[in-house]
Amino acid sequence: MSAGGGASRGARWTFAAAAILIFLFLYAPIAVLVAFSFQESQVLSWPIEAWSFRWYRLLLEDRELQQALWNSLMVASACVTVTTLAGVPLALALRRLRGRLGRFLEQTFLLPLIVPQFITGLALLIVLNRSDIGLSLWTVILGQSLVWMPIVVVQVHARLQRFDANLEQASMDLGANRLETFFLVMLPNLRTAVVGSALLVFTLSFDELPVTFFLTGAENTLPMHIWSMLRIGITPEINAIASLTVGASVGLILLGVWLLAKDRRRL
Amino acid sequence: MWQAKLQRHRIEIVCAIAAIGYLVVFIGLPYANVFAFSFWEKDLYTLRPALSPENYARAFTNDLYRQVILNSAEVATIVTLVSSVLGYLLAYYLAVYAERWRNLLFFLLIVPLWTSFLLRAYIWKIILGRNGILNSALTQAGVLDQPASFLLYNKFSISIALIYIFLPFVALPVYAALEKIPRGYVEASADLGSPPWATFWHVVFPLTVPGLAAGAMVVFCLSFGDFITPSLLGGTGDIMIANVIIAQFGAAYDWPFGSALAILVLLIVMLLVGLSVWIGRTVSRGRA
Amino acid sequence: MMDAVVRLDRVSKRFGSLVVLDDLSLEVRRGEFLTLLGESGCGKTTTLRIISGFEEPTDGAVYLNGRLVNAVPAYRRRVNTVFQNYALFPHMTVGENVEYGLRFDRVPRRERRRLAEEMLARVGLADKIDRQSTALSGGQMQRVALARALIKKPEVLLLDEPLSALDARLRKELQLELKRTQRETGITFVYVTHDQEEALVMSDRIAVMERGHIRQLGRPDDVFERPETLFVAEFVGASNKLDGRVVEIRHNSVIVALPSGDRLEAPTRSAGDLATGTDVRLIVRPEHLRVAADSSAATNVVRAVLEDIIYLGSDRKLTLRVGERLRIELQERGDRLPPCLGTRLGMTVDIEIPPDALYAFRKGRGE
Repeated sequence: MSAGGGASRGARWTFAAAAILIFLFLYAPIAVLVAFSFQESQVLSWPIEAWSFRWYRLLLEDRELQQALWNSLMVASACVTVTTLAGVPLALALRRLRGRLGRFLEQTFLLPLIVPQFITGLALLIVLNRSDIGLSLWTVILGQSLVWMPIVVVQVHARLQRFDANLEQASMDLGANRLETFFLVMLPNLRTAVVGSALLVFTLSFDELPVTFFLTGAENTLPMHIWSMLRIGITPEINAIASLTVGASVGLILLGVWLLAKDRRRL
Repeated sequence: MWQAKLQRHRIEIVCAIAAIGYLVVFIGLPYANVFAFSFWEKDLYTLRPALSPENYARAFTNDLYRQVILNSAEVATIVTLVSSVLGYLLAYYLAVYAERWRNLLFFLLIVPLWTSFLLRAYIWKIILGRNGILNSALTQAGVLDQPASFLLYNKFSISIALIYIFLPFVALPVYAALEKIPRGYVEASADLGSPPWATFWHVVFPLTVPGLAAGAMVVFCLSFGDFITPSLLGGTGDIMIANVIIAQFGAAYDWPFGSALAILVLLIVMLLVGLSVWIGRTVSRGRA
Repeated sequence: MMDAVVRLDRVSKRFGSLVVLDDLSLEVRRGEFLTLLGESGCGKTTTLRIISGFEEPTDGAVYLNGRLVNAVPAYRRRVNTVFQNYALFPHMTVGENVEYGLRFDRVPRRERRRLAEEMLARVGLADKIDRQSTALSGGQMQRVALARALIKKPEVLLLDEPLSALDARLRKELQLELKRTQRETGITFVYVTHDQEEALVMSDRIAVMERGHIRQLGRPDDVFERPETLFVAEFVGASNKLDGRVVEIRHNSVIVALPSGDRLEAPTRSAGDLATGTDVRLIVRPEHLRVAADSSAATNVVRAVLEDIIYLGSDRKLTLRVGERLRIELQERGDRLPPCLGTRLGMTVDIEIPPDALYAFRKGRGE
């Protein structure tokens, strides 16, 4: 929908002003954060008097932080692998199920996404505790995969709904069996959904705290590490970390947008 | 006969078994355990299986817990209302007026979603704090004599951070709904003599209600179940239900009671999901 | 006996309580162009899908080349389909689409490409081989879909309303092209359409379907000129319907009285069980009616009020009213109509209905 030529000028400017204010609200804090990350002083104060890379240098020396970053990357990659390998077949399975059972399963699959995540975390903690499984990064991977699985299932399932069933039949009609049809026809057409949800799972997992909070053992992920730093008090080092993560996210999204656009050109 | 049927539907059957198996093991089992645990008893340092309603009784009779739940509901309601209004405004501007800026602004709307939740809550600590940027700016401008302390560690700071975090959660589904409305509907309405506000109210708004309801529902549930923002930005009197539950699994070591509270939160969330689905359905059936 | 490539023997298909095909038997002869003609929901597409293997019949047997194939999946049948919306794979080029099916016949890559080039040349799209399949026009997509199916050298090619998405002019062009391709390759075509003109133009034989049954199977001229049931008569070709009652039985014909009082003689043909007093419906095509020059000379004449004259290029269509409420249409070349007909709007004219053009069917009998 977009406004016709007759849209009133007054309404347009009112909405534009509101939008500008809201975007200011969304972005001013990020700007402040980035600015503070370059502040020399230990104590935050405005206006910034001396600028430096001091806090970024500190990051380079912080072994614990680097270990946490590495752990987070491992966990996020493992989650992407697990959710993709299990989520795509689950979406395919869901597509085969029509009627009441199918609808019921579809909605139940969403549960971990709707239920507050810390509840899923503590639920798994209870199960693991009762079955005497020790907490580690593996249990974090398990927990996060469970929570993010619906994203892959829902995205792929939605794409499958739009997928022209005739393409599948055309492929089988031309002699491909189900497996060949899946790899040659369906997967290439699901690619954007699979890549998109994998990217989303990666960033969400990288950032995840509530489930990890319950399920991690001795090792920390990056958010857990930041969390414990924040409990102690504000240090400008956190501003540097935050600025870097914002930068990294923007980079990732741009990559995603670029991939999508490339894909659309092909289609 | 039934064998032939079995044969014909073998793929469907395999799929059903796989899907149901996943649900039972990875979704049903954990939540069922929480439910079972909520009836257990705690003796000092040991947890004992039981079928006791004691934990629920405690949650309902103790004023403290009632207050915490109400507190969480209050914050969640404020956050939901404000982010719905702001999110709707933003989505409407994007869909209707933004024109050539649309892609850039849409991009700017999703960027925050991809950055750390934890850090987006933390930002407000450095903005609203006693030595924060807002206080510095206000004192330097002469508005305040000395830095104000009422900005941080209360419901206001929790709410503003949550609104900041969740605003795009409303804006995105509403924008998607607005995008899908064919221009012909609006033009037809205008053609039939409807002034713009009436077109909005009778044609555009009803078509966005399912998206708005879904977004608002998500915002409410996430705010209601958040423990990060209150523990970073809340004062001692502003703890929310999630903090209490987590404490039961931590220092208090009262897992059964924590489970009972978790089940209550689950019920509230389910109720809201049901409500928003119902709203979405009635509106799209009744008017669209 | 003719050589049957496909034989459906007493095939039924039910989805729950819905009966889509009801005890249907059909033989498709080798090398023929057979059309399944009917309205949507008559079971024609289901019949096609049972032959291709996408649906299994609830009851009955499907034979390909005399071999029972009920349980053989689609990808193991030497039957290929041109889908209604072409179903070209959007992520592949035209060439990749066309050679796709050969992968599964273990044809080496280079050979596949060569065959695809050959096949595309045949449909006039040799220069489009490296185009993305989504960048084609409707007619080109249709040709690619045809090439993709034909490259498999199927025993039977199934076509599910392949021209329905195209505009009228292109449709006419492709009808002839399809017919020519069929004749050149000698491949058996089973073609599904709801467009009777398409069926008449292309087919060797037409099966007219209604509610899961084949109502008539025959050459186009049989179906068009010698309909065996009321449904076929009404469905194929434009037709006037005149309801009346049998008042007299003659040797090879009956006399039918219309509510307007007019009496018409109609041959009995196969419908020989018409007794006096039976309610019947007479069917006659607009192009078989004539404006009578001299009313006294001809038999089978009805008096009608001329309501409208519609100009159709070389033809004119006349709308006429017989009696109180019966409307009929007459189509005739303009130069064969009496001059100055335009001045007689609203007046009565005599319409002659040659007995041979009339078909009498008993009314209210379950078809």
